[in-house]
Amino acid sequence: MSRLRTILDLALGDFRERARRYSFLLTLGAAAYLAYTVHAGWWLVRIGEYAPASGPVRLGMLVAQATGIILSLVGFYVVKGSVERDQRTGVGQILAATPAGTRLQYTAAKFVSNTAVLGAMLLVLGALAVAMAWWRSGVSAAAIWQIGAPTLLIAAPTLVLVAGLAVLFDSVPWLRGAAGNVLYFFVWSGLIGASVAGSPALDLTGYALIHDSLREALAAARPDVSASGLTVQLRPGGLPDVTRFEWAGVSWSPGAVAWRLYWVAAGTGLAGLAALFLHLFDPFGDRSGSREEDAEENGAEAGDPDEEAAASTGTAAADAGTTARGDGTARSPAGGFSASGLPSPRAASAVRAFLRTAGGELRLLVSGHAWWWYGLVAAASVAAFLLPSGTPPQTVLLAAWLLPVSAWSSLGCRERQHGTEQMLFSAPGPRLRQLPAQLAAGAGLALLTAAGPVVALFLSGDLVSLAALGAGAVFVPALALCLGAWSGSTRPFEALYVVLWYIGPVNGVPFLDFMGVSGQAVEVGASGWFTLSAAALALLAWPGRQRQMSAVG
Amino acid sequence: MSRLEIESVSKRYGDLWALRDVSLEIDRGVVGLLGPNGAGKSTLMRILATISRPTEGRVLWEGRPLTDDPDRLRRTLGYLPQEFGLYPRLTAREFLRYLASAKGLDADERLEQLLSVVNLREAADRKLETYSGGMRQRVGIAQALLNDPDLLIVDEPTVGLDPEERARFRSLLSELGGDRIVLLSTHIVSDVEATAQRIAVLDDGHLRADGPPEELLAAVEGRVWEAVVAADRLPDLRSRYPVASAAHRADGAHVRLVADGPPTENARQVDPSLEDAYLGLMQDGREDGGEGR
Repeated sequence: MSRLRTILDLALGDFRERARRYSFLLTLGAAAYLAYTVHAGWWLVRIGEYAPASGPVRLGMLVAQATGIILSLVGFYVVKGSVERDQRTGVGQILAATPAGTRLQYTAAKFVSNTAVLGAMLLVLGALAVAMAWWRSGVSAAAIWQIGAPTLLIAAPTLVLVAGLAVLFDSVPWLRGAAGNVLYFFVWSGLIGASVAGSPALDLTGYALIHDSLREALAAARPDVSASGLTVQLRPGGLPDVTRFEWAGVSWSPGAVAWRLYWVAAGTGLAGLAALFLHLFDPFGDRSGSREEDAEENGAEAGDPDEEAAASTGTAAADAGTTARGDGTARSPAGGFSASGLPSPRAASAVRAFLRTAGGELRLLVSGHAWWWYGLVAAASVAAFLLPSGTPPQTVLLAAWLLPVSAWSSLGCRERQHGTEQMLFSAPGPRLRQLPAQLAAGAGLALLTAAGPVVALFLSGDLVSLAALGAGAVFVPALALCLGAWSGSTRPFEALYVVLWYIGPVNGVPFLDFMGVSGQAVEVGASGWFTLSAAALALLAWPGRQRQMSAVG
Repeated sequence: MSRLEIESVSKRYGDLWALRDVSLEIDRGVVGLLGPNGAGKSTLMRILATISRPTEGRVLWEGRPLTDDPDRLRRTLGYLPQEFGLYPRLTAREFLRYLASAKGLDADERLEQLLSVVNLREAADRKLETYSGGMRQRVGIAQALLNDPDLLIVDEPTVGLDPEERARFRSLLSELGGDRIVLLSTHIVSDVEATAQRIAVLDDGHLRADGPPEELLAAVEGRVWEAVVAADRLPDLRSRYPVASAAHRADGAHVRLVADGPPTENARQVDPSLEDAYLGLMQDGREDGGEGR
């Protein structure tokens, strides 16, 4: 079988696996909704007070911009995670044992599959744009080209690059989890910002291309006006009044087309680069070096065939009374596998049982991080007391509350991610105790990582800000719990949280500032809003957990 | 009244009936649940573990339906699923402590001793991601015993265990079955033979037999044969009879099979084993074409 055929077969299998999921339909639904926002006039692209006249040309440009801004962000989180899924399900190891299992072929197949998924979203968006044009004024061949050209030449290359980035993030072990999901938001912000710079080599979203074309058209239509700077706005209603001018669309010179194909090449290159980092077929490869460290610590390498052979036969141990085993355990000849005389466990009261469960959840959230994680948490706490006067202590939360993202995102979906559902759902109170305990633990983690600001606010007597911080500490895990319980994945929370973080606390939008960093959020009583939202999200998590339990059964 | 009563339980997934009209009453002891892959064993286990609900029928624990108050059973249930995961970054001790917390137990002392029981004490502080399959299975066994369960459900528990561990685990199950109910689901007949005082056989979602091992053995008494045949006759014998074993030797293939009469001229009758009884039962079921279902 040729390599190309192998890649296509692998990609097709991967695409089918994704396309047959319920979430794929939701994804296409989201693309359709995006098309609706274009149709409903929520998008405005303008230069100063001037905007291109309505028609298929403008529609095609809006599809390209909606893709560049929205799908390039959302699409990444939609397609990311397929390598992790293969590791979790063991499919990766099966593929590794076949001739097809070379790294480059594997990442190439993932790249093609990612592109196909994003392409399906773009197809829905583009097809609906054509349908809208037809609905308004009928559709001609020219109109199809006017909509199709920006879709194919601006939007599609953007998504190809996103597909390549997703493969790269999936393949680099430390980018595979929450850190990668948070980092991508900054990468995406950087790419959007770079598009504005004007160089075609940085213009992923086609912003500069459209800007130049619009500016030329405006100059021709209104020589008396000197306006520049393209503004892209998305607002449900309430868009500012603008003066319309005729625009024939981007002139597709060979050079312009070549610059768009450059992004296709870049996406392909990223997928190739990903193969260098991929350790799909070694379950310990994710932690380069740590396996050896573990072996040194434990005196054994788990999973080593020689060790397993030793395990089945047993070898003489230094201690004559024991038998050493390849897995590092030791067995007394007379002992083991007898339960007689074991102390009985004590069943706790309902309150104590809840506290124990919450304590266990909190230990789980806090444990297992690298040493620097704890160092940064401690540093953030100290920093709350070293801020310049006039700076609210909760400002440090902008950094401190990025640290627990991976822990929060596991709420509500950890059982599914690790296959422990049956053990936990058959334990008492999978909804009444375990779910609230997870919420309490998540809030506890928020307060632990905010220890410095909490103490500083308390000492300063600023109880209103303290209450706002407390509301945020409950709101964030409630959001994570709800999204985790319904999606079974960590990604929705990780993606949404970083967007909320950027819009709310960083940019000071009061009703999204869940940290209470801006004084305005405190003044308008946003803490009440976040408390109510937390309660609603926690209640919504309940049927999500019920759905998880039904799925296991 | 038995402690555990399974009354005409059926379970349907879409158009497929995974269980049909299964009834059992169990008071104590090890009950082996045998059946081929896809027979409905794990479905029944999940229903008894309160994870799944029957489509029809009901299950009663100490006289009360499970659906009324599943937590009543959960407090005293130990469950080892057929497939389960662990949190790879935790150590075995941390993981078991977490599960004890999730079950609302104060079980630190018992936890430490359970680590010894399953021979993981020395590896208890290693991260679970470094564990072999057998070690992971032993963690699963330990978590099922955390609450000293009155009902212990173990689904294919010996998967991944080496022969020595398997033998030890069987004796642990026998010991536990003395004063509680142990439900052992497996398709490995020798596991059941070594531990169970009672055997229930599921096939295609139906309960095909339920009784002590002796009862199953009596059903194939006089129907088990051993013969030495030419190797090229083996395919024919396999197509006509359930073959328990076939070993190639210098003088030909040594075959052990279940048949109503002598399958070859030189066949000699031998005492049946539980595996013979199981194969005979499965064969009878197929020949009956589902009679009694």
